[in-house]
Amino acid sequence: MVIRLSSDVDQRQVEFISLMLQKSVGGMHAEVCDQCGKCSSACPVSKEIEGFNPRQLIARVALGKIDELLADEAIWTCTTCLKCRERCPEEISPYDVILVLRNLAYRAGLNYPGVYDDFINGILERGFISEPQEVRARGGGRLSREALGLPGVNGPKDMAVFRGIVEKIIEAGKGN
Amino acid sequence: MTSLEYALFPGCVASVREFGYELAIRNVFKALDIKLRKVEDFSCCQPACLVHSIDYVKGLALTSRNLAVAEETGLPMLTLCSSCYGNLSRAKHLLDHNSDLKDEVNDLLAKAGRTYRGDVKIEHVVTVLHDESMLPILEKKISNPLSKLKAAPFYGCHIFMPAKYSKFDDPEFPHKLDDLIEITGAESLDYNEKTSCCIGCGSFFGEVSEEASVLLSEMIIGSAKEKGADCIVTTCPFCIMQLEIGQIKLREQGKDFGVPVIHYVDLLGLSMGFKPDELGFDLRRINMEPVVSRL
Ligand code: SF4
Ligand code: SF4
Ligand code: SF4
Repeated sequence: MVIRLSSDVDQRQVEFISLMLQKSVGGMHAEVCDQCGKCSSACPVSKEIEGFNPRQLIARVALGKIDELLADEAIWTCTTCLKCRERCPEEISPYDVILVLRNLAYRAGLNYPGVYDDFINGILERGFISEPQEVRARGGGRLSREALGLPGVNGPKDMAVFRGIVEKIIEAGKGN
Repeated sequence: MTSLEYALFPGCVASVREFGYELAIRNVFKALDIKLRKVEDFSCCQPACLVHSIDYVKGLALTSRNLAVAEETGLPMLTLCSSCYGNLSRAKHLLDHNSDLKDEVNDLLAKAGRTYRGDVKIEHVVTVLHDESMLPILEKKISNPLSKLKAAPFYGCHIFMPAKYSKFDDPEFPHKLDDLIEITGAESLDYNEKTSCCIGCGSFFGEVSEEASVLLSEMIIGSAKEKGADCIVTTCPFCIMQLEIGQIKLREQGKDFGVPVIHYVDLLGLSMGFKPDELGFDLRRINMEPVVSRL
């Protein structure tokens, strides 16, 4: 499946990502989906959120409605639980298709949950999602790692190198 | 065969916020004579919801960086978080089966002077404790059987999905956590949502997912409580956080479940005679009385 976008996205980068994904996670052959719905019945999000449905999502991919999907916030609602992939009798993985769509939406400069940037920046700065916190104790007051006798968390020393690498792709995405 | 020493990979949730579990695992493993080495260079495991969603290959490189660090220690990795276990196993599987991808990732790792070779072993508390060689040891160490306690196992999702990456257990009918619960003397309950998903590590962004996560908490906790559960036992600090916060939100809506959610190391610790505060119970968001009163 080659994904084409109508916006002025770097098509080469997009093809690379789709190819990489196809190679690494096995075929995403939306055309063989027989719409049995096993993925949707396994999906925890479908149970609770109307309008989110991996079976339908695959149908939309098969119909080539990629542009429309990229702008749909549904692709960011999947919890990445992988149950759809586990259940699909045709070895289609709605989960992996969603990951590709997210990668593409990002490159197309479309909206994505802003919290992503905070988390990613946190990880690149400290190696973890945040600084170690002081946690409220049931008995009153706040407890730190040290107060519990746990060793400090200093984080990895080489994250700066990765900051360079990841920032480049963030810029590449935003430029489009 | 269980190793005598592991490189502890606590993951970010247990490192920066939910460190009661790090306390519990350290105390319990020490009592089991298994050493845990602290490794400064580990970072967050980089779940699929973060960098992977935005740049697949670089996300994978950040995950695999941890695998490379573990290989440098020469020790198997031990995680107490389902998602860490799932993410690390998935990265390993992808790299070990795609030499192009492995090269691509190694090019990025080389910038930090690291290489992923592929010989690291990834374990989770449950896989280590469920090992044949460990089961008789556990039986001997249990000095305070929890025969009054009814526990609902909650496997969560990332720990075994998809089965071909992690080989943790049968994803539809898992039994390892159930077995381990029974060893402590507690009763392991069967209920509908055993292998459900808490929407913790995935899409906890935005109103829609928040709403869904509260609804799922209600389903999971409600179904466990209906079967008479005194507590829910998980394999993941992130699931605990979700199910605790979910209960707090449900309480605000007038639905008070009051079901403590604990990690398996907590349960084992209690059965080995550890005091609740040696297991970080003081940091829990839900009143632990239903568990503590049955010790
Ligand atoms: S389970 Fe597979 S074949 Fe069935 S609807 Fe979902 S993607 Fe299609
Ligand atoms: S991975 Fe996403 S689409 Fe698939 S079952 Fe889980 S939440 Fe649903
Ligand atoms: S799975 Fe969750 S807790 Fe574990 S390191 Fe990753 S983000 Fe942190």
